[in-house]
Amino acid sequence: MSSCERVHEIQVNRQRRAVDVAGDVPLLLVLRNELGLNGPRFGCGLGECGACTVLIDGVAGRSCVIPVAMVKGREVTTLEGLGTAGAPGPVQQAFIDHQAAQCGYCLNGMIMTVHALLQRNPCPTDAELRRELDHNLCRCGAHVEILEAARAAIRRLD
Amino acid sequence: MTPDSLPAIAACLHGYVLRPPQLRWDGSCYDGARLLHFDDSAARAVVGVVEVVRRRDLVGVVAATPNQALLAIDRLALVWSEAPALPAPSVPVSIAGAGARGDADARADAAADAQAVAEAGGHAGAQRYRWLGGLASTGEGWAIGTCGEAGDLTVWAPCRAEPALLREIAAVCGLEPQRVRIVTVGEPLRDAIDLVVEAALLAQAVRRPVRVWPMPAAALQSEIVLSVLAPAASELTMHATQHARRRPSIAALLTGVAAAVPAELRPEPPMPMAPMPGEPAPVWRDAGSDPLHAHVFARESALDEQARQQGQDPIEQRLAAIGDADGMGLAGRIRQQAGAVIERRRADGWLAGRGFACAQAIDAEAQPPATVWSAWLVDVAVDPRSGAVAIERLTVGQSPRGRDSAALGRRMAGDVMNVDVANLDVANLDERPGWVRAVADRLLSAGEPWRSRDRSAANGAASRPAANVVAPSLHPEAAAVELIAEEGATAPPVAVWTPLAELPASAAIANAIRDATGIRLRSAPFDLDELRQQLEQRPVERHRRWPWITAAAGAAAGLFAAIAPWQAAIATRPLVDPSVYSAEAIERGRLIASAGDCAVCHTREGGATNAGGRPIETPFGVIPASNITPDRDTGIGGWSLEAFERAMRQGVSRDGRHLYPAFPYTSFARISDADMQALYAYLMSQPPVSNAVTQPSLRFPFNLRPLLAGWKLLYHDAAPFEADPQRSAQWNRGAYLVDAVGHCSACHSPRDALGGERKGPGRYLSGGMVDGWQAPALDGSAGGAKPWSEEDFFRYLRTGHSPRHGVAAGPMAPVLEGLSALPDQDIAAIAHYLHSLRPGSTAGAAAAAAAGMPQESVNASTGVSINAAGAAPIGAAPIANNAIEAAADTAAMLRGERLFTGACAACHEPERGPAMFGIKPLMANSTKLRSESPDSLIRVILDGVPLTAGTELGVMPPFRYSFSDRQVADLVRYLRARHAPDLPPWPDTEAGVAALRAMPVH
Repeated sequence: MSSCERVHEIQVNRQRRAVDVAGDVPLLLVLRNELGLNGPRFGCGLGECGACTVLIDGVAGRSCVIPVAMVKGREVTTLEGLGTAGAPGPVQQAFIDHQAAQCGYCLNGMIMTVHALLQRNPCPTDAELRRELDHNLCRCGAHVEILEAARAAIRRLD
Repeated sequence: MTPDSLPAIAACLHGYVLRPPQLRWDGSCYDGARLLHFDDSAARAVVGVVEVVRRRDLVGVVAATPNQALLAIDRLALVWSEAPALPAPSVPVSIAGAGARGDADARADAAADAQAVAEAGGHAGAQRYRWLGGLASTGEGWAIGTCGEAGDLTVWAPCRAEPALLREIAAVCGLEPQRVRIVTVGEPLRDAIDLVVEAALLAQAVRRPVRVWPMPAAALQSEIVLSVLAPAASELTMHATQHARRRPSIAALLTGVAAAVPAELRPEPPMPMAPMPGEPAPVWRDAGSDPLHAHVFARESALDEQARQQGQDPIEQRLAAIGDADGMGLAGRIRQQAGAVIERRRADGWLAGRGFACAQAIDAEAQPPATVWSAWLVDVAVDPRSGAVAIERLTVGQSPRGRDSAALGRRMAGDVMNVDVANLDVANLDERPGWVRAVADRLLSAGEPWRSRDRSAANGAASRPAANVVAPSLHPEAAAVELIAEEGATAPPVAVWTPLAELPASAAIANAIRDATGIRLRSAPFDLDELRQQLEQRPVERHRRWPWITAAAGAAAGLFAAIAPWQAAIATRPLVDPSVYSAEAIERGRLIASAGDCAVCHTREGGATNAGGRPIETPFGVIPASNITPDRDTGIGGWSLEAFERAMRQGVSRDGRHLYPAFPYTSFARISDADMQALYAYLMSQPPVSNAVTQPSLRFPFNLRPLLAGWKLLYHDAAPFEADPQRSAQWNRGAYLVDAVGHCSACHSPRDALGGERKGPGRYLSGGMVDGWQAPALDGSAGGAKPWSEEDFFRYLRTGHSPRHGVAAGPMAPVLEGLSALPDQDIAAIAHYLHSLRPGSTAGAAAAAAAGMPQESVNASTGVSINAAGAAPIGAAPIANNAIEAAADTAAMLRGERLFTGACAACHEPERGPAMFGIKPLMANSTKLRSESPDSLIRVILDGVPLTAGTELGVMPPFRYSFSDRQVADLVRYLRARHAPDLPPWPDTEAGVAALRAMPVH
């Protein structure tokens, strides 16, 4: 990893992509501005709200505070990697079914975080689920629906 | 997922298996540190931890992310026993004792072996030979284990699916061998066998895919200790391990199955060492080949000892015992080539000696596999006063059996070569016999006996530059190397030697040193401190008394030269053609430049590397760093080595001006000559950049450079680095890196009003201030700080992060970037040295506890006890909760808590919140919170932590744009009250924040 290298080969949604940016540019900006992947949102830019969450080697990460040089050799998955509009992934489908959003700005982070949790723990308890979503902010107050959707996703996977 | 597809990394859990502090294998049983106490309750409470596995002395952790697993490992409360003490090297031990050292499962086997040994020829006594670092890991490799529905295990790894390894996994996991499978992925790696067994074990424990990572370890002590029975009869018998073809995996050792693994892994019954015919040659495999080295070292040393005891010429005796036409032929030619016996006593007082050793092994890499003989004849000279060892002549040969094989003929072809190492083109070491020299040097320069080795270096090719030479230095005159290849070879004289040729090196050198000095070294690679100490105990006649006077006069002259207010200019020299420097010297120089952080100060933001211009702020004014690229007019292109060295050691520029001590020549003066030359070679081979740098703007009287002569008289000691003979080579290496190249004291020692570093006990490395950051005390003198273990220092310096103490930020970040170029041994040496500075460091944590140092920090939210010393938890009283409650009546504290929850908790509260990528540093463990002033903490909050290359650290965003001064102050007060409740609150934080905010950002 070097902050001096300009061209970074990164693996996003199972595709190899090369980008020409400084190494300390946040991954979020690379995904949105260079690769046109607008699933992750720019919220606070400080790693506080979770709207920018992506998966790095299957673990949730806040892409606004992760420099692109840090994901060299790792597998990045964005919301687009979980499914498409025509064929959404199971967690995405659960959020659609429960209409778990008001403005929807936080949904990327909610879905990615729940997906990461279910990847490593297919049957989390409600406490584990709440703990996992503890630091994902939703300004609209859609928490009840979001938790319902997450529980439905767990059942869907069962 | 089908069983045949490699599981996606996203579907894997991540695991680590701990290494005990001392890992020792006696050829049949595990003989190292044992686990006495084990408590995993705190580790299991870490978010993301799936399982903590314990099997006897093996402890592994499986978690959702590698960092969570490492965090959990730090929460394990473990107590290890010391490895059983080995007897003093010169005292033979009885074999019955060796048997009793084994564990319960293995005792029966060991006893049987001892019985067999006794039958084979009596047991007057056994001699132990130690092969150090034999089980050390290169820190490379990976393995993914999966467990099928029926419990069948599959492991994917860069490792061959050898039947012995499969049997070993089966034994460790309690399965039949046919239910275990290894899928080889990529080029086999040397240490993958350990990870393969661990992956199988952990996957079986959690019944899900687990990726196992090599455990980062600082100073792993590992060794193979072999016993050789030396009966009075002419027969020599080796105990137990003589035919161990490969070492068992570490997991097999720790779980205790190694001694019970059947067939090939089992030591064969002892057999006579001489004559050799009939002895099956051990098979060379790169993976786990250390037993072979240990075996040859032990056997060839023992044969030499035995011959000497019997009053025979050891070389004659050895040749007579070969009993194989190929081997005899090779040994005879080598002896002939080496010529007459050398002159043992020199006029200069050096002692000379000659040693010989040979080995026979099967080269499994050859097609078809072939038996290979190799032999070394070594002439050494030892300086009994300094303990320096010089290899004067190496005659090395290798002989393949079956020379009709065309393939082998090509591999081995070559004329007898006489090569003068001094004039050898080191760039071509891999093709030329310089590798022989490299092997010898490595065995002799192994001051760090617990090395983690780079296998490519051990192969002789492309060896790592010898960055480890501190003391003693090798004899300045280079040795002649003579190589003997097979006669009658037809192919061109480019000898590609197999790694097998290296086998006899250690014993031949040990035998030669014995021949020269009468001292027998029974641990390889050699610890020359041991030799030096033994030499000191020999009676030696006094030598000339004059040299010290000459030296003193020289030093005095040097001093006068350095302190004269006016210095002569040294004429410029024509630009050098950098191709005159060897690639090895340049590489060595690059490492020194990296460790010395030249580029950190000499590179302007956004400017070309080392082209200067960066403003260095001092209390006396601003000094722009100079251009140290080899540009003729604006850089150092016209500087001769002499001028460069004068600047580095005496702080005098080429044109004779005194240099300001912002340039730490006070430290660089101690750099060794060889390193200085390498650094010069490196700098001169970099691209020249034309960049004229402005003059410093210092206040009167500091702008008067001649006054610096007086400053130097007060503060500059141009004495070279002196190794402390009472200390280990590792300690001396660490001291050299810290005091000379690393110039740690430039920031970490306090400075007085004139900018001089304060020295002496209690001052040296006792902490300083730089750019508004507090450089913490490294000598353990800061009252509030938690004690740092050697491992803590290593982890922090290697990864930029210590789970127990926090992250490297601010001006330390580029230092970490520089250190990332250094090999693990160097980092371990620095850690070792720094740890030795702490009060009562030898007694370790116990002394710290007795001195009332806080050992525990308590996480307020969960009450989980975090144990700093790795001992059993003392209790988990929620002290911090009380402290917060007591302080919570202030609104500021509540505001601080709210700020922390909103802005910080997602990353800094690993007990709560989502499992996240990257390191989540625990605030409770940060040194910055226990520091005397909040400055470093405030600077991190204001400016964040930028990307640091070469470390595992992520970044932290700056909060100067989103927090007001009062908010930062509230947060700082809250963090101090919560995580350092035993320390008083910092006064006047808000004004401190305002002052630091106004300082320039670096």
